Amino acid sequence: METDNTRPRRAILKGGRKMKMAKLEIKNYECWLNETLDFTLADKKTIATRGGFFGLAGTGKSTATRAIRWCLHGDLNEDYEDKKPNIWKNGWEENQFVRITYLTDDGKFLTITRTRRKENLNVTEREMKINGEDKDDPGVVNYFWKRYFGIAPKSSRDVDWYIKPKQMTDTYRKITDKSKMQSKLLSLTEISDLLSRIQNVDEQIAEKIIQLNENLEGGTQLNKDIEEVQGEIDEIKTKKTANDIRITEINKLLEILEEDASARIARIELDKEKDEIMQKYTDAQLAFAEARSEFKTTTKKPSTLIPTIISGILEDSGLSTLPKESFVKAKKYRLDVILQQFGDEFSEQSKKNMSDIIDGSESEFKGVSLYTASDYAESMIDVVQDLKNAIIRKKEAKVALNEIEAKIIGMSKKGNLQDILDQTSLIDLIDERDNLNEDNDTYDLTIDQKEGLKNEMLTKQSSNTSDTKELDEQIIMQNVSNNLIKDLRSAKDKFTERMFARMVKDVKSAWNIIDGGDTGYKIDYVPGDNARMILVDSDDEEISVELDSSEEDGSGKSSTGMFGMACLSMAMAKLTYLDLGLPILLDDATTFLDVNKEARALKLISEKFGQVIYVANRLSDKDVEGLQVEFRFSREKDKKRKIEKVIL
Amino acid sequence: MSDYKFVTPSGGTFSLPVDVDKKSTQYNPVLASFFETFMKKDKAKAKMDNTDVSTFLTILGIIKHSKDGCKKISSKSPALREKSSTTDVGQITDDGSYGIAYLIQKKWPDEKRDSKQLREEIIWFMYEGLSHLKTLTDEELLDDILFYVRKIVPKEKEL
Repeated sequence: METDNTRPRRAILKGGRKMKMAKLEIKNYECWLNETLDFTLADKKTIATRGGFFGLAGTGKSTATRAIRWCLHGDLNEDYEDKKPNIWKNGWEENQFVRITYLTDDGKFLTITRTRRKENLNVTEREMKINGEDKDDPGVVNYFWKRYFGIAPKSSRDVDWYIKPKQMTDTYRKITDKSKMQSKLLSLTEISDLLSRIQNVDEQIAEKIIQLNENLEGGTQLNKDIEEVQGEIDEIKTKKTANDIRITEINKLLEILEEDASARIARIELDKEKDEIMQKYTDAQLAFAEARSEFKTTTKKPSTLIPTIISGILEDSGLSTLPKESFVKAKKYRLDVILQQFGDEFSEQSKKNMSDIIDGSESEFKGVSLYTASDYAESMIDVVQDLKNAIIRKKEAKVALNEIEAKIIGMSKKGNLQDILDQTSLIDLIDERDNLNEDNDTYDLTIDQKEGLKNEMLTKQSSNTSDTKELDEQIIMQNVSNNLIKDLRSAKDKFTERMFARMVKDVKSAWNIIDGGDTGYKIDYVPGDNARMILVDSDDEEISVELDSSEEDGSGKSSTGMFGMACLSMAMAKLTYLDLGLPILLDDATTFLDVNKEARALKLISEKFGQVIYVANRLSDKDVEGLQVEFRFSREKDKKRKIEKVIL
Repeated sequence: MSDYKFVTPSGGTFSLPVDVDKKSTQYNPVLASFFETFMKKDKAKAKMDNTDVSTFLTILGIIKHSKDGCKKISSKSPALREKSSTTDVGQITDDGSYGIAYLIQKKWPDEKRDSKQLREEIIWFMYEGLSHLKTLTDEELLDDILFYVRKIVPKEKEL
């Protein structure tokens, strides 16, 4: 896969620019000490379009072709089975160099020189001149390289303009398989680069999303942790609340116990006091009963209380004129006086009664109890006074009794000391309360710690919010890039399909020209997802193409010679696609062709690419039609190599 | 004075006011105290003497108006005389020996007064006594009694 981003887009143009090699100079390159190959024809002006290197094995043909590649691309040992080019042979005094002079299609001479100096074997230098002028600046170099190689110098080494059987078979294998062809072809397109860059971005986004998700998963864990801690805090708080409730209960109980202790004492005192008051009340009641009884006895007597009061009212009104003192001594004695003085004020009956008493016929005076009232007044005062006092004392005692009873009733509402003490002991209660308080202190400490932990986690949690936002953005970006990738892939597929079809057309064309109708076989194309190129016989039946030209396939149809021709056709097609303008070197690549096919191939290649150099392991090949110049390689007995140019 | 013609109240029963009924003691605290203190012989039986109660109430009425210095009395008692318990004016006044009739005629003289009017006046005083009772405590009642009893204590005795 190419990684050189500076590679320009290839122009897929039929009949692009072409150039021909006019001269090859080799100095101190492997077996060649100082050799010049001139490609001009007899007129010394026209440059041969079809040339050949001939000679037996070990005469330096391939070394010459390698020298050309080294000139263009520098050291290539990593990709080719070549010898180390930087071997410096004993006796070489001058610098190693290879120089190629090309004639361009617009009539300019382009000279490219590759030099290695004895002082630094690891470095080679390239020099480029146009019409003898030094033009080795990047702009000019790129111009020419792009114009004739289709690509920039750095990547040009990958172009198989130097065709050996191995390169051909490689090409075949790549080109017949669409997916492999895609990678080969489309690696050279910007679409692929763009796709690659987008995929890169896509991967970065995916990584970022994974990372954010991990963060957020961490966040989820954090949320769980926070919940867990909160749960623990709540649990402790619940315990603490329960403890507080129990402590309050105990405190109340202790308070009641304390209250009841004093209440009990107070109640004993009150009971004592009540007994005294009750005694007083009872006494007062008795005194009252006695006074009332006395009062009733006194007032029950006829003409006692009522006449006394009446007398008092008369006295108070200044109406009584009775000589009171006389009543005290003897009422009978006084009756005649009363009758004499107040007779008019009495009824006839009363006057008769008075007269009856006076003359002794009647003993009791009925009419005027008034006159005897004062006899009772003194004792009456005592009785009434006693009763009044008794009433007052009784009332006071009753009030006192009510008060103390109210107090006692109020007290009896308190808890029952004995009951509580039966349930638990005072010391147990105090112990329990102390333990609960101690537990609560521990709880407080734990809650503080847990709250601190929770706050730390909450701080972390807040940073997750920005991660969530970023994740959303990244997912949107991922969608965009995924869609872009999808679109690009679709475009790429269509493009590949088109390119593949065109490639097949080119291969068909090359095949038909080289074959010239000799075999009757054709190149065909199977489109679709598993698109591939196939070889079919005259009955349109697929022929298996094998590397070994002599091998027969399982169907019994022979593919002898077909493989080589197919490979060559494909190599041509590919180079056509690349719009190469460089001379093609065919190194031992046409041995499988008969003379006619070989001639047609050389003609085709020279026309398509401007020039072909045909390398073959033989002394000469005059039979090949259209060959213009031969370079005959030979080796003397002293191992000295020699090249003889023959213009045909 | 010597021209004054004294009369005795006409007799005959009359109904006592509802408040005086023994059942009233169950809900009237003033009367309950009154009956307990002065009238009942037996608390449990709440037994009382209608004549005693009536006499006492009449005296209370007279005391009330004597203290007020009332110059006019009435013979129109409130229309509350509908109750099964009854008493007799003759019994209330002990047929004149208590001096109630004498006092009324001495203190509030009325030339037109006849026996019938006197009877109604006595009943009126009884009602007055009942309403007066409702305003008094036992002690105040006894104080009133004491006030008048003290008036007739012989001077040599007082000294």
